[in-house]
This record gives sequence, C-alpha cells and structure tokens, in this order.
Amino acid sequence: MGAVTGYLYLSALLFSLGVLGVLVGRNTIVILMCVELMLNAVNIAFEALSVHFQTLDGQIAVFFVMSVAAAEVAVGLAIVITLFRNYLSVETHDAVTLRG
Amino acid sequence: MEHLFNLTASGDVVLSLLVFLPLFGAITLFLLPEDNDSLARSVAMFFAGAAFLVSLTLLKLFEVGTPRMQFVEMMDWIPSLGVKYILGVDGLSIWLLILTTLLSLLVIFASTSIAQRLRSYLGCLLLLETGMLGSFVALDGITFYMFYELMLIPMYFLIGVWGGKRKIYAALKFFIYTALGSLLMLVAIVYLGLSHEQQFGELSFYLGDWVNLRFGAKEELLLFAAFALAFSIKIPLFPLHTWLPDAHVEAPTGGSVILAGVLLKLGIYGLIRFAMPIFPGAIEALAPVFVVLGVAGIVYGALVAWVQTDIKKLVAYSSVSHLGFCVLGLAALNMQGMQGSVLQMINHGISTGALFFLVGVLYDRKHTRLIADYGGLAQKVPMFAFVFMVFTLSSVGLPLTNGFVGEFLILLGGFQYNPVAGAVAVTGVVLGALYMLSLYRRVIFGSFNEERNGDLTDLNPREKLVFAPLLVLVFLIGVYPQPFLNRIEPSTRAVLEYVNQRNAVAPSVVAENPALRRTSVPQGPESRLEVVEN
Amino acid sequence: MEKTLLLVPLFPLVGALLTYVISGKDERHHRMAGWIATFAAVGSFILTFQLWRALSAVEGSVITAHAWTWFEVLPFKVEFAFLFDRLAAVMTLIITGVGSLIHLYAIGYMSHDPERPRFFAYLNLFLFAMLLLVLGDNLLVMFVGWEGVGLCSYLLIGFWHRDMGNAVAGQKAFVVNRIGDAGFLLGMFLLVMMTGSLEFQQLSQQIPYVDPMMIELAAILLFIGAVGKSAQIPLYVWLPDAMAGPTPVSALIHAATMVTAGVYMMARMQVLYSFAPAALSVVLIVGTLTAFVAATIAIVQNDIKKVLAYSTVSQLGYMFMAMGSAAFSNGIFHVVTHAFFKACLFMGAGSVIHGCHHEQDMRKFGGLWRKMPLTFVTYLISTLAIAGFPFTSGFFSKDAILWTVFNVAEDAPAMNHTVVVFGDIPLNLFCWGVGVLTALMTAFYMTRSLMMTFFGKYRGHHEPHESPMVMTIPLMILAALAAGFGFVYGEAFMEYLVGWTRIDMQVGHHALAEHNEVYHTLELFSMGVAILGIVIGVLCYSVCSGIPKALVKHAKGLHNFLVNKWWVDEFYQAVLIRPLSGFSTFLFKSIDRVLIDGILVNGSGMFVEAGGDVLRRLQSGRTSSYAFLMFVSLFLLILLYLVFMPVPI
Repeated sequence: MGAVTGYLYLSALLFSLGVLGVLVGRNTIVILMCVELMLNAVNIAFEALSVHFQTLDGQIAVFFVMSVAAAEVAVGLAIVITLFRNYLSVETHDAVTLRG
Repeated sequence: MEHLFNLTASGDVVLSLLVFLPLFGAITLFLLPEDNDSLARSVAMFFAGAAFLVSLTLLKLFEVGTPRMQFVEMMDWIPSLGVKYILGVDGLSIWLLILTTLLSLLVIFASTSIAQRLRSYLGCLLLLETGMLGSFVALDGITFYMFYELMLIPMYFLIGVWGGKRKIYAALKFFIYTALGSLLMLVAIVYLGLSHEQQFGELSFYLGDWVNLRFGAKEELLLFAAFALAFSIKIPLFPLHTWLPDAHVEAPTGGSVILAGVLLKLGIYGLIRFAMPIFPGAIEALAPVFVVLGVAGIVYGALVAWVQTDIKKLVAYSSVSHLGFCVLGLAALNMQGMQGSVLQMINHGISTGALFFLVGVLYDRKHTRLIADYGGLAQKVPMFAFVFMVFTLSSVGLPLTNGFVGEFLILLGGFQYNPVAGAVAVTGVVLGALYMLSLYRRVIFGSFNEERNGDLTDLNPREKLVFAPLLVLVFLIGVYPQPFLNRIEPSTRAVLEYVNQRNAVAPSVVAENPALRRTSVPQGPESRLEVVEN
Repeated sequence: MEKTLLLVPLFPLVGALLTYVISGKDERHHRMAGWIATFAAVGSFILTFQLWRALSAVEGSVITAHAWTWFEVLPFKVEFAFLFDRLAAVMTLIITGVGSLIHLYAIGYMSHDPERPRFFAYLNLFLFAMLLLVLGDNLLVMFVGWEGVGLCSYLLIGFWHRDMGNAVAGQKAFVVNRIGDAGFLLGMFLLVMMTGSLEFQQLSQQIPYVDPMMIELAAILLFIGAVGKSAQIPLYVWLPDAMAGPTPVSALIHAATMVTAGVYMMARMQVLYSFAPAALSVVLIVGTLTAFVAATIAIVQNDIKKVLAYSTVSQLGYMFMAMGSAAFSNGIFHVVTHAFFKACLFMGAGSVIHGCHHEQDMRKFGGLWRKMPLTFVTYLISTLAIAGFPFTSGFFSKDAILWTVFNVAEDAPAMNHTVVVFGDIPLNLFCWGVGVLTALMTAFYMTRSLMMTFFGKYRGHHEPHESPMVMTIPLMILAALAAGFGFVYGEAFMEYLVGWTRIDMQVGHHALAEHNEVYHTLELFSMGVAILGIVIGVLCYSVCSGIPKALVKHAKGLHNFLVNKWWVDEFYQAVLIRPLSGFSTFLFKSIDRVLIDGILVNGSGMFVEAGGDVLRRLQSGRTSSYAFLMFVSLFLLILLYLVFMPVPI
C-alpha cells in the first residue's frame, strides 16, 4: 500500500459521502454542498495521482475543476433563488412540476 | 439511362432561381408589417408570378425530343459527406413544375377568404412552393430529401392554423403519417450513400451514381420497400390513404388545392424518378402488388366517394381513385401506361385542383360543405354551375376534356399488362360517372332553397380569373395533348428502356425465386473498382 | 372536298357556342337562338348533300379528311380524322336532315321556355357529337362522339332540372351508357392489343389474321357498348326514363339518331362481326328478346311518350336482329326508315302534348283529329309505317329484316346458327317467329295509341289547338318520307349500300329473292300480320271497347307485370344498386373508418400513446429519484465495463 493509495481511499470516501448527500438530501443547498464535496474529492485524487506519476496534468485539471465548481456554485445558487421565488421553498420534493 | 444521368453542368442557374424565388418571397413577407394584407398579397403575387414566368421560360427553352436532363446545375454542397447540390429538369418534371407554379399563383391570387394572419399564410404557401419545386428538380438524394421534408412544415401549419374544426387532429395525422414514410426513406437514402462508398469507394447521394449500385435480392427489396412506402403514403395508395380525407376536409381551400394538385404527385414522381431506375428488379417483381393495390384503390375510392355526404370528402376519395389510375399505369411498365400516368398527374392536378377551388367558392359563401345543404344552384349561380360541370366532366374523363387521354392510355397500358386488371379498372370509369354526376345533381339540380341559399352570389371576377386558365387547360390537353406528350415521352421511354434493359441483362429472378438471386454476387462494383485503380 | 368534310361537324359546334353565348342575354337574343341553331344544322345538311353528290359521282370512292394527330404513344397513334363513305353518307344525311327538321320544330315547341338558348346549344352540340360518331375514321374518334352524344343526352334529359326526377333520369342515362362504354373501351383495348391500331381501314385488313377467339371476344365487348347506347336488354332501362326530356330531344336523340349509334357501329365494324359468328348469335338473341319484351310493355302504357319509347326499344331490337343475321345493310335501312316515322311520331306526340298544354296521358286525349288535323294525318301515316302496313317504308325495311332472319342459315354457311332452342327449331326460325309476333303487337299498340289519342270523345280539360307551321311542316315532310321512301327509293337505297361493301351477302340475296316463292309467301304473310294487328287495334278501341277492359280484369297478374315493365327497374334496384350502395357504405363506415383508419392508423398511434403513458410514470419529477437512477445506472455501467472488459486493467 503505497502513499498514493491512502489519498485515493480518502477521495473515494469523500466522493461517496457526496453522492450519498446528493441522493438523500432534500434541501437544494445541501445538495449543492455535496456536489462541491464530490468535486473536491476528485481534486484530491487528481493531486495525489499527479504527484504519483510526476506529471502536471492533474494539477491543471484541478484548476479546471475549481473554476467549474465556482461557476457551478454561481449558477446553482441562482437556481436556488429562483426556486425559492417560485415555490417559497428550497426543498426538492416541493418542485415536482416535471412529473409526467 | 446511363447517358441520361451522365450530366454536365449547363452553367445556367435558372433552376435555382426558380426554386428559391418563392423562398425569397417568403423571407420578404416576414420582413413586412404584419397587418398590411394587400401589401402582403401583392408581394406574394409578385414572387409567385415571377416563379410562374420563369417556369414558362423554362418550358419555352426546353428542348423537345431528348431524354437528357436540361438546365443542369452541379455543385458540391457538403463535400465531406459526398452531398452535392444537383438540379436538372426533364420531360418527367417539366409539366409538374408548370403545374406547381400555376396552382401556387392561383391559390395566392384566390386567398381573399383568409381572414387572419394572411401574411403568414402566404409565407407558408411560398415556402411550400419552394419545397415542391425543389423536390421536382433535385437529383441528389439528400437535396431531394431536404426539399421533400421542407414541404411538410408549411403544409402542417396551413392545415393546423387555417383549417377547419378538427384541424389539429388532421394536421398531426398528416405530419406523422407522411413523416413516418419519409424517415424510412431517409434510412434507405443513407444506406444507398454508404453502399456507394462500399462499392465504388466514395460516398455519393447522386441519383446518377446510385443507378450503378447492385444489390442482393433481399437487400434490393428492402430498400425499394422503404422508398415505396414513403411514396405510397404520399400518393396515397390504398390502403395508406386515410390521412388524405382528413387533411383535405380540414385544410383551407388553398391547402387542399396544393395538396391534391401537386403534393400527391410527388409520390408517383418519386417512384418513377428514384425507385424505378435504382431498383429495376424490385419494381418488376413487385409490379403485380402495385397493380392490385392501384386497381383496388380505383374501385374502393370510387365506391367510398359515392356514399359521402361532404363535398370535400367526396372529392378527396375521388383523388384516391384517380391516383389509383396513376399507379396502375406506372406499374403496367409499358409506354402507354407510363405516358398516361404522367399525363394523368397533370390532369388530376388541374381538375381536382379546380374542384377544390369550386368547393371553396361555396364554402366561403355558406360555410358548409354538406351536399344536403345545397341543391338547385343552377337556378341561382349559372356560371358556377357551368364551371362545375366542365370540371366534373373532366374528372369523369369525358373525351375532349383532359381527363380522357390519360385515363385511356393508362387503361390501355393496364389492359396490356393484365386484361383482368384492365377490366376491373374500367369499372372505375363507370363508378366515376356515378359519384361525380350524383354529386353534381345533388348540388346543382333539383329545387332551390330560397330561404337557405337565397343570398348566394355567382362567381366574382377574381374567381373567374382563377378558373379561366384551368378551363383552357382542360380543353387544350383534351383536344391537343400532343405537345404535352411529346415532352414527356423521351424521359418515360428512357426510364422504361433502362428498366427493361437492366432486367434483361440480369433477368429478375426475384419474382420466381428470391433465394436464387441472393447467391449471385453482385459483380459490377469490384471489377469496376479494379479498373479504376489500374 | 376535304375541307367541306371538316366543315360538316364544325357548323353545329359553332352554332352551339354561339347559342350558349347568347343564353345570358335578353329575350330578343333568345328568340334568335333557335334560328341560329337551325341554320347551323341546315348548313351542315347542305354540305353533306354536296359531299354525297361528290361521293356518288365516282364509283367506289371515299372522302377522307385529316384534322390533326390527336395523340401518339408510339407505336400506338390516334389521328383525328374523318371518313366519308356510303355508310357515313347515309347516316350523315339522316342526322343532319332529320336533325334540321327537328331543330325547326323545336323553335315552335320551345317557344315559351325561358332557357331555350341553352336548349339549342345542347341540341347543336349533340349534332356535333353525333357527326363525330359517324364520320370518325377510327374507333376512338367514334368513341369521342359516342361519349359526346351521351353527355348531350344527359344534359337534355335533365334540361328541366328543377324537377329532381328529370335530373335523376339524365344521370341514369349517362351511367347506364357508361356501363356499355366500359365494354366498348375493353373491346378497343383488345383490338389494339391484337392489331395495334383502331383505324377502320387497318382493322379490316388485320382482323382476318387474328385469333378467332379474340375476335369473338372483341365483337361481344363492342356489342356491350352498343347494348348501352342502343338500349338493348339488359341495359335498355334508361331509354323510357329519358322521355323526361323535351319532346324534340326524344325525337332527335332517343329515336332517330343517337340510339341507332350501336347499329351504325356494328355496320362499321362489319368485318369484325363477319368473323365472329358466335357474337352474331348473341346479337340476334339480344335483339329478338328486346324487340319482344319492349313490345309487350308498350301495349299497356298510357303515357304517349312511354308508348313511343318502348316502341323505339322494340324497333332497335329489330335492327339488331338484322345485324345478328349479318345483314348490315338491312339494319341500316331500318335505321333510316325508323328515323323518318319515329321522329314523325314523336313530334306528332309533341304536337299533341303542346296542343293539350303539356298533358301526356292518352286517357286524357281523344277526338283530337278534328282539332289537330295536320298532326293527325301525319301521325296516322307514321303509325301505318311503323306497323308495317303494305308499301309504307316500314313495311319494306321490317320485311327485309324478317326475311334475312328467316334465311340466315342458308345465306351464310359460315354462321353457326344451329343452336337448338326449343326442340328442333333452329335459332333463326325461333327469332323469326318472335319477330312476327312482335310485328303483330307493334301494329296493335301503335293503333291503340292512335285510337286513344285522336278518336272517341275528348277527355281532357284544356282546349286543344293545332300547332304552328314551324312544327307542322317538319311533320309533313317526315310523314311523306315515312310513307313513300321505301316504295320509291327502297331498291335503289339497298343497292347503294350493297355497293358499299362486299361482305354483305344478305342483301344481295334479298335482291335475288324477288323471284323466290317462299319470299312472296312470307311477304304476304307479314302484310296479313300487320293488317290484322291494325284491325284488332281499331276494333278494341272503337266498337268493342269492352275487350281490353275485360282482358285487364281477367289477366290482372299479367297486366300488372307488364304495367310494371317486367319489374326490371325494381330488379336492378334490389340486385344491383342497393347492394352496391350498401356495400359502399360498409366499405366507408366499417373498412375505411373503423378498420383502416380506426384500428390500423389511429390504433398504432394509440399504441404509441399507451406505451408513453406507461413510461411516463418513471418521470416522477423528484430530483432525488432522478439522481438515484442516474447513479445506479452509472454504477451498473461501470460494473458492466469491469465484467465484460476484454483487457484487464
């Protein structure tokens, strides 16, 4: 078990926590935070592997992920606000207009 | 036929001009203010009139006696996919072009009864005209398909927006039914293009390249079936016809005229232009099926037309019967039948188009299409009665009107193909007289209901102008059809000879034993490839 | 001469256009319409007369004229061309001659009708079509005329279209004719297939080399056309109804000219028919039956025009008897004499109807000979002629037909008339017997109509009056022809027609028969039959007027059967029209709407819709369930990848 494996386990753990949060979370803000958690879990994996393989690719990818995450938060919060304006709630099970 | 598609660009752009004039018209219309109806109509008239003049010029410059494509335009369109922009006109399409531009012009001219969104209505008509004209001149599969589908959208809106009570239902049915067929055709088109890459090394959707393709029997039958289904729905061939009565009944007058006058012709035209030269073996093997369905359509359409209570529905079912004649003539695979079939397309466009105009005249005034609501109109509107009589007779196929020559040639061809089929089809002549004359009698003769129809007025000058050219054509084609036949003849003969020649070289055993054909590997492509490489 | 020939049909066409154009104008123009139309007809007659003179000047000549090439789909080609030979000359002279007289008569008859320009336009158009029919150089031009006269007949029967009954009668005429035309078309197709041409000249050269079975078939198919147009069994039902049209129409179209088109067609196609013995037998049987059946119905009719209509059907039957015996010239001879006396009878009836204010029931006439002496005399002469009274023209033509029918087996050994009908009687003798019986009935019912109309006491309400000169002059001319034509020109006429063709052996025999003992016996016999019929008729409707009444009382069933015209119309209604109409409704309501549109088309739409309805339940709208699905699917995909990935990681 090399040094990198521990980081990867951590990353997998965080990622799974994020997934769990997205799946069970009802509050959209919690879900957003969980998504952030997933993204950061991926970042850890990138960093660890970057060090492990001695390449810069992972570092670059992390920058991309961080900027995407920033954009995502901006858009996500905008959606949450709109959601609140329309449904007076940020719970997911209150916004079910798409039901077939 | 090989030489038929051995094209060289003529350097003219007259066909593109013709095809895109209406499109420019439509674009111009959308730039105009929305509520100025007379301006919109003038603009539409200008573009439709210009297209009509261009088509007349085309007719004048058209060289008689050659099966070659004329006014050819060739350009690469999407080189990476092998899609080309190839237009050309021959005897098969020249009269259909004239018919299209004439009917579109008349429909736009007669659009006074459209009360709302006239600008969009005219725009749809012009867009439709581009689609129709493009389909008649396109020689590249993808280009053809694009124009072919382009017609669908404006027609959908014409029925759906300006239609009658069940317009949404009818429009949707029309759209889905015809799109279903054409999507299958699209699959076949793509397959053909890829086959060309497989057999000759490059992607091509050009019809002239496609005729060199060779397929196994099962493959050919399936591909043919995809094309045939699309075109049969368009024709519409019995029993794929049920969208037609609904579409006709709900469509506004102009939509019905264009639908019956031109759109249906694309089915027959497509079969002759694409299906016959690409799949000569399959068409010969399946000709009996087409003959049987055509004859069934003739009799079925006539019988069902006879018991209709709605004038428009009656005329719609009469179209099923008339197009059955066209299919019979085409599937007879002899000169008389083919010539008759192509001529009958034009005839049907004229007489049925006019009949729909006539129904429109009544509908505009009384807002009912039920036969029972009329009666004795001869006493009140003699001019209308006269015009109606002429087109009734033309539809019945009385000699010296246009309906006769085509019908006679088709029946002669059908009889030569199979006397029994010819004999059954001839009953269509009797039944045609039965349903058309009983329609005429119930609408025009008998006692006149002054209370209900007392305010009917006879044809106004605008309507007279609409009917005048159609009346002239009825008698012109009836008395002297030779100029029409002369131009059609070389092309139909070329197609027919090509089909016969192909079937003679590789005798079609598809009919007798499909398994046999499959074992004979197509040999053309490989050897040809070698030659190219050497 | 070629130009003259082209002008012959052109005159009435121009006349038709002119009169139609002025139909929208005022009353003064309307008065002109009749004269324009009559002028066109007379002009055409004069031209025909000139042509006939030119034709007669050179022995064995024909005049042809080529107008234009109608259409060609090589190798098949149709010329719009005209042919004027002796047969065409005879027909054209009758059409334009009798036609002119009827036009003249119509000026008087229609003088009060507000729509008479339209009437005269149709009448002239009819002449045009009829001339195309007889002058056509090929079967297709003939067919143009053939359908054209059908159209004019339709328009003119329904001329008074306010009454739906008239319009229905017109439609019936057209549709029934179309049934015949379908047969005609098929016959033409068969001939094209066999010979590659429709030109009469070509056909007569090719036909001897064609398969005899095909010849028979083509002959029968063309005869179906004739059956429709010339109102033979089983398609005769339209002609009695056609009497709904104005009387001049009945005289011109439904007696003198159009209905004889079938006879003319057979004469024109005689090469075909002389190679088709079986078809000729069919023609003979159909003609005989028609003659007989129509005569039985005519006996009990009370409407004067209906009597004449059934009598026309019956006389047409005689013509086809002649044709069926391959005696083409005899048939044409009867066409000519029939044109004279039947046109005269119809116009006489029209004169009576006109004089009695549009009453047509003979029971409301009576004693009119005093009030309408000219009409009476002409009607009397024509009645004698149609009855076959000795030395009238009808006597000669009918006698010639009966003689050829009697003799046919001997004359034409090629013809196989040995079909045994009743015991040992050969077909032709049976037909002859029926023909004689029909002659007796003809004499009787025509005398009956004469007696009921002109003798006894007047039973109507309106004051009858004699018709104007424009109406009586044509009557007198036609009556003179009906009386004297056979006696004066009969022989010459037959020889003229015999010279026209070599195939017609029958007439040659007829000429020789003058010295035959059997012939003379038969001639006397038919004279006797005619006179007997007339005498019975006179007696029954003057002195012994109780006899017919007693007969009606005692043979009620038979009388009813005849009054209802053998129930043929009802039979067609029940066996053809109603089932067909029911079947069509079934096709529309059950097959079209329910099966094809409902189940197959909309059914497949509904199937897709139902499928969507099931699948849409997956669409809960809850984001968390979407996310759950997404992750599960992703997990499964990765799992699949790991399991089935060929290369280990």
